[in-house]
Amino acid sequence: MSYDYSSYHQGDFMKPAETMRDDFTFTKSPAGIARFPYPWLEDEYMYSVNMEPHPGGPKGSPFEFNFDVDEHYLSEMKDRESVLPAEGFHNRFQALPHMKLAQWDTLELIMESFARDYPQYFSLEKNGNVWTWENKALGIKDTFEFGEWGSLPYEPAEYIWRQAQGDFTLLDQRDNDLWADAGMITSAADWSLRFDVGMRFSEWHGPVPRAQELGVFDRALQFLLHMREPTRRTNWTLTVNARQDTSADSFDEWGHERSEVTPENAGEKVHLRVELQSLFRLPRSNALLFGIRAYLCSFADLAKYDPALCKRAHRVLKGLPQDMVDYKGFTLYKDTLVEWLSQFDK
Amino acid sequence: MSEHIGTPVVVEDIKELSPFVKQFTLKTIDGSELPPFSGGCHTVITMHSDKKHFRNAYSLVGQTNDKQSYIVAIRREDEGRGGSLFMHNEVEIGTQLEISAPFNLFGLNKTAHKHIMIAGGIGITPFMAYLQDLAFLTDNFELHYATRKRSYGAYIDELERRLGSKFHLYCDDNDTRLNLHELLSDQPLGTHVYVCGPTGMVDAVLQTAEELGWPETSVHYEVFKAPDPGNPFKVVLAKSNKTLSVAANETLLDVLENNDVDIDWSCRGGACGLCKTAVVEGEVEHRDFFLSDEEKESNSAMMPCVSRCKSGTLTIDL
Repeated sequence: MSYDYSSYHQGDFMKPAETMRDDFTFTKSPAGIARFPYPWLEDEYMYSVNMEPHPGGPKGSPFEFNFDVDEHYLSEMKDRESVLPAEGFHNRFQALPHMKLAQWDTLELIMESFARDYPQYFSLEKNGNVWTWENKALGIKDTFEFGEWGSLPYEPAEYIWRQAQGDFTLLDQRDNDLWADAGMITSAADWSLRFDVGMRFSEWHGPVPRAQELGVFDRALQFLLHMREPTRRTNWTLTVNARQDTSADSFDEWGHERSEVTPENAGEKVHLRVELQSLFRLPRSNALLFGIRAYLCSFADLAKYDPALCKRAHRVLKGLPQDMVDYKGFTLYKDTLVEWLSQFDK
Repeated sequence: MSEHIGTPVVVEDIKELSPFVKQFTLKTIDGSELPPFSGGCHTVITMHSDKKHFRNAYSLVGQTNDKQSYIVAIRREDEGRGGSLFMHNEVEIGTQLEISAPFNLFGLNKTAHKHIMIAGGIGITPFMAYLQDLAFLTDNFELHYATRKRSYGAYIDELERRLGSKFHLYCDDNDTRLNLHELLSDQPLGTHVYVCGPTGMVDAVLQTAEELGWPETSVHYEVFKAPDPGNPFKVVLAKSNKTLSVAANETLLDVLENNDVDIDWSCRGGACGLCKTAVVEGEVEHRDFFLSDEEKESNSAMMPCVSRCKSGTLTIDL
């Protein structure tokens, strides 16, 4: 089955803001489902260093540009804003003091990419170091001096991350290692930036089962230390409801929802959550910008679009080793979901 | 592989900084902007002569305002493989060259409380670019520059003007010598030291720091010199079944490239690890900083950018 989404990024493609908490009014358009980055190429899943050059992919797909902007832009930005305090103590935005240059690098890369790839929404005018940025979607227009701390209403990375879908971390490169020394995380798959900030590569990957033994992380780290051209990989997990913010910081708000999956509602309630992870070498700071962009799609929506996607999901999830089920956090409802998916694999 | 080579540039300006050092300003031919870069980055310049091409890595000296040019300062190495001589003798304003994307193997540790830079001779170049990063970080740094004569050094007037008391010059003219023991024995915790210069100077800094109990991760170095010549040898390429000769003043990597063997590389100085190649047979003369001692002893891999052969013939897995 196929659906032509090649013109997805043309014109005004953003939907009015919907909710990704409480009453969950979030829905996907047919094109939004068709372009969903379905993660499995085989009936079985195991970790690998599945990295490839970025960007590059079919027109209209999430892989087309450096940073994908889609129909959920306003919903995701509004949801993010609700967990970021306007000022004061942050759990969700962290930046250690030595990351200033990397913050300017980040702002420059995202502004230039957005203005080039989505001119109907974003523009950037440069007059020497005096830059004017306009975000028509959010009604923002600011003139500031690039490199001059304090010339924007927020720190540079916080400023632009408040206007870009997906989570981000900034990795400082030193001592032959990568350190998660800044970031904005409002859609984490059950982890906390406040907890991880300042950790090295092997530390923040510490909880992942099996991958250490497979040598995946050693190879990935060596690759990243030498990486210059943008690179991406995908990762996946499951989320109950179309909830953006499933970070450890707000576990009390969403943890219980995992016990609400029933044979009747599994297809509507359980969402496949695919992370498009992208990495960019930042020129001034030699840091890496790590984008973690989460796409959500319910299994019911996938089934409507192409039942074969649910057939494969059935096989992958049924055969997934228990420690990976536990780590990915769907032990409570895995059997219920697999049972629901089995209708497509008969 | 090596898609990062080959941004065409033209020499826009040449300045003599000392009897041995020339500064080259390289501008993009199509007027496009070059990316900004971090302090400690190098670029590899590809030079084309009638007979062959040369590739040498040079530190980028600092960002220019127009963003269309990079600056490198090159010392003439009369005993080298010919790249620096080519730059000094053959290259003039208007000469076309190719440069690789900037790559950093000698960056600042931005978490340091204090930074001490130690330069010898042409080793001053990466620190010129460090200064633009430090402007975003801290005032707490010192630059120590040793050169035989003041007139042999590069950028001294500029550094005195920009850095004032943070700049320390050691040369015969002012009858001063850098006392490493004194410098490194009285520094606050959280200080990082960076050294770039000839092998002897780098070794002395590493040794002094170790004796004084500095943590290894607080000491950073880049050896600033072209690969030394060595004995000529033959190399057999196991996969493509070819035999090539490496002359005394060539590197194995140069020879592979001049014979169109596809191999990745970046630093061309035995530090980055990209050109690592498996060895099938023959005894390697290891000269790199990348392989572990165990790997070197096992003779199973080598870095063709700097390492050579002790046994006359080397068979590698290419």
